Amino acid sequence: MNALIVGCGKVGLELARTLVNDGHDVSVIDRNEKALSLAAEAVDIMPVPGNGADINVLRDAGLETADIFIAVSPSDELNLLACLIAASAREDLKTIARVRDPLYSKETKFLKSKLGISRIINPEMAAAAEIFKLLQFPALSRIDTFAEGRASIFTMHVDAMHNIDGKSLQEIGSETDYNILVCAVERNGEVTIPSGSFVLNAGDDISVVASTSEMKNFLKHLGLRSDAARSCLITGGGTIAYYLTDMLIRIKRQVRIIEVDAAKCADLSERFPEAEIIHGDGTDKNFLLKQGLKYVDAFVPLTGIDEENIISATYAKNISDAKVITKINRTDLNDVMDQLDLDSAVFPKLICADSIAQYVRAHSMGVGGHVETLYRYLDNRVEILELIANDDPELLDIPLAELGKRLKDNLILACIVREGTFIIPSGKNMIKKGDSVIIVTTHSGISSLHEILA
Amino acid sequence: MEIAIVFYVVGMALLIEGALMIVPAACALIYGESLMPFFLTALICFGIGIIFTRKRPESGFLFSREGYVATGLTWVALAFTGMLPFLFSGATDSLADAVFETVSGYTTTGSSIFTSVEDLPKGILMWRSFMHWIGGMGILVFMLAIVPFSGGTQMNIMKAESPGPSISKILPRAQDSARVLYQIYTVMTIALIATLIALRMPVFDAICISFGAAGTGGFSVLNTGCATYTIAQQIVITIGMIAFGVNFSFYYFLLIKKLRLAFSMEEVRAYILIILAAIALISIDLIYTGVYTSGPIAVKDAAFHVGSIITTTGYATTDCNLWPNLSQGILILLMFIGACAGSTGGGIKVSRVLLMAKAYKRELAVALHPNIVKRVHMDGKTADEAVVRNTGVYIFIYFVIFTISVLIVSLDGFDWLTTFTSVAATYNNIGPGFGVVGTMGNFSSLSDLSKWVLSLDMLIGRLEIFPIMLLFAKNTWRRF
Repeated sequence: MNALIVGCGKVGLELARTLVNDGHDVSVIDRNEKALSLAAEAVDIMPVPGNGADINVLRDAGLETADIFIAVSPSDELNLLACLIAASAREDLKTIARVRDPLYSKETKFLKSKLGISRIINPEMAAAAEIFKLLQFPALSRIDTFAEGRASIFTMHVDAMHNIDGKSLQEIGSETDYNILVCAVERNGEVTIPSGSFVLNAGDDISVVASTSEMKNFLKHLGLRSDAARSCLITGGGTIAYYLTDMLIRIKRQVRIIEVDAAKCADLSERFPEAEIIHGDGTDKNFLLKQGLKYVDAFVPLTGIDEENIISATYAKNISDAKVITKINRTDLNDVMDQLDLDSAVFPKLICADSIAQYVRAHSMGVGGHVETLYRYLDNRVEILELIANDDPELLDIPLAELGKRLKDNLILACIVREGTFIIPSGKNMIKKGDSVIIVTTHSGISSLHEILA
Repeated sequence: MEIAIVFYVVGMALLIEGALMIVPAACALIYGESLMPFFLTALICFGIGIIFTRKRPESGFLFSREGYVATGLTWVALAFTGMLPFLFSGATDSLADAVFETVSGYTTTGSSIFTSVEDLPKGILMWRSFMHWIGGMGILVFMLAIVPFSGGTQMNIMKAESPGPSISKILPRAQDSARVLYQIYTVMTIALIATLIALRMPVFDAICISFGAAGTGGFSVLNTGCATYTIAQQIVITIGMIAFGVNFSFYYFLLIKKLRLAFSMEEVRAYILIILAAIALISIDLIYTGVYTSGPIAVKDAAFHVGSIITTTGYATTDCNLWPNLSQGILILLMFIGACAGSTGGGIKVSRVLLMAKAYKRELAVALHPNIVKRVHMDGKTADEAVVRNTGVYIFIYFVIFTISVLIVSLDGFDWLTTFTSVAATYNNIGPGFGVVGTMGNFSSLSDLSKWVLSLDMLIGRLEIFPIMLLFAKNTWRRF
């Protein structure tokens, strides 16, 4: 496929990297030639200097042959305008715009239907949604859902206190009646897709696929905290804080936001009378203590400065039992974060790039079944995909005991959701037409069910 | 909330209270009375105090919430422990009475439920007056002066306990500030005691009356109040009361020889002006209506009562129920104005009245020129807008609580003057009101319900509303 990206910032670059790795041809348009040339050195793209809303520039960049058009410049207005122009020049073109302002994002439906934009991506809202999910399950460091929410995949840190430490996956499976599958383990920086004899140790980060309805009980069984965070202390009153507060207030959680800018405080207080808006420096240790950091259920540093967020998160981990979720803008700090033991980190820019990459892959119309959902775990080293099975005689109605021999290495069929039922597949199960098949693999770029075969 | 530090502060205050029992106990010893009431009280205070202070909290952080809660709880704890000598000595056997008398003592109100104080043991009389002295400057300020706290957050206690719209330290260190305050306070009290003794007042009376005047309390040791003292003694008491109603920063400025700063304090000037005007008006009224025939005696009594009421002390030399309406009205008005901020007196405080008068002037200017930008000035500096706003709300809440209290006390079925002034006199920490609770009467005939309500009013009035009201707020007790 040919992709056109407007905006060569962190998201644009990350997205270009993903698309190129997936085998697509990518042109990137930006007014900043320096940023373009740097990007071109790092990723195999075609740099096109110029204004993304200029039809001539777009034509030069190959608008006529493009399959997908993605506008991720820092300006909402430019993104919308560029998509509008591209969509009017090529009616069959898929267009994706990044829109961050809460004012516009309320009008997503209108933008999509009237302006002909295929998808509106709001990274801040997506990040807030991700934080919100984590606040419901503070014991987990990441959680995602598949198959309209019926299946979940979550990542957790194995602790000596948990009763799965030192047990093999088979033992864990025989001890519980829960339908769960440990589908990836990260140990000392190495990612493995484990077999049944794999023994878990304290210090492992494991990713588990489970039925959403059973997840809570399973966590309880492990001896983990299964209740949601009741109170939340947020530093930095930016857009993510805005969306997150909106979600938390709706379910009557106690929210306290520390913001250094008085005008922003006034805005927030106007919008959220139920929340406590504190005017002050949220990176000041004493000020945080004063605001009850020690006693809060969850601490979420969301300031615009990564370093400050990381420092206050580390401090919070030291003095309190709070669930800490750190927002990090930079996309290259992923591995550093692992060494810091910060509970959970949320990368809005990666969420954005992932969500676009998923959209692109879902629209590549693969053989045997298309990608419905895509998540990338453990520093992008593991991909977890939900694929919808369609007619493919090489796959359908073959017992997995047999099919399993023909699968790629480092790939497992984690679960199947059929008509709402969650199945952890054994040798007798088969893939049927219309099934949601969830696979976990260290191969990247799978875009159709057929590709799971070796 | 750091509940550990809150209990630590309460425990520390109880330890101090236990130690302070030495004063009435010494008095009881001299007069050959039983030491048991004070010994037992000290024992109980030490017991609870030691349990609460057993472990010093690691983080000594007293943020504003902890400061308020610690102050509110400490005063409630003091009310329920300070009353023990009254019960143990058999002075009263009613819990409501004992608590009322104790709260009245600590809050420097001086309203009494005892019909004849001359019948009480001397030790108990000394304890009543000594509570005034400690409560006047504040037991927590006393604690700050003697117990070392780390962390620099202890100012939050001082802010919660000291009266006035904005409290600032007079020295860089909170402990030094507390010490200087208590030094000035002690020296002035000793000077007053010495002067009264020199004027041939009995030593016991001189000490008790001075404690009452210093703390602006008002418990007297004679059934006739101050009426039987000589004119010279009454004049000294008048000057003493008025002096303790002045902002203590004034004395500090005098002490460090910053006379210009001291005399440019608008609040002190307004305070003196109000006193002089009130004395003049009442004197003229008393002579004009023929209540007094002698001019100088009228001025002396007018000055004594104006000083007694505006500083919220509550001593009396005569029965004010016999005074004409205008004079009574002026005294009731003075009840609400009260003394200066940063003094030992109660009431709304002159600085708040001054601030609101200035804010009113500003609103007039805004009405004339809607786009005008105008700041409120105080002592040559602009007043913080937050303080102006807070003062407005403070005065509103002040009267809301006042009104509710009046409604509850009205259940007792007294006349309106009695009902109204019994609340005004206790809420503003004055002591006597008019009617049944007048200068020659007492609060013994009120129902228990009224006594509990008035006890609460005294605490609310002394701690300036927020420390007590916060104890009833749900959010105060949330961990986060």
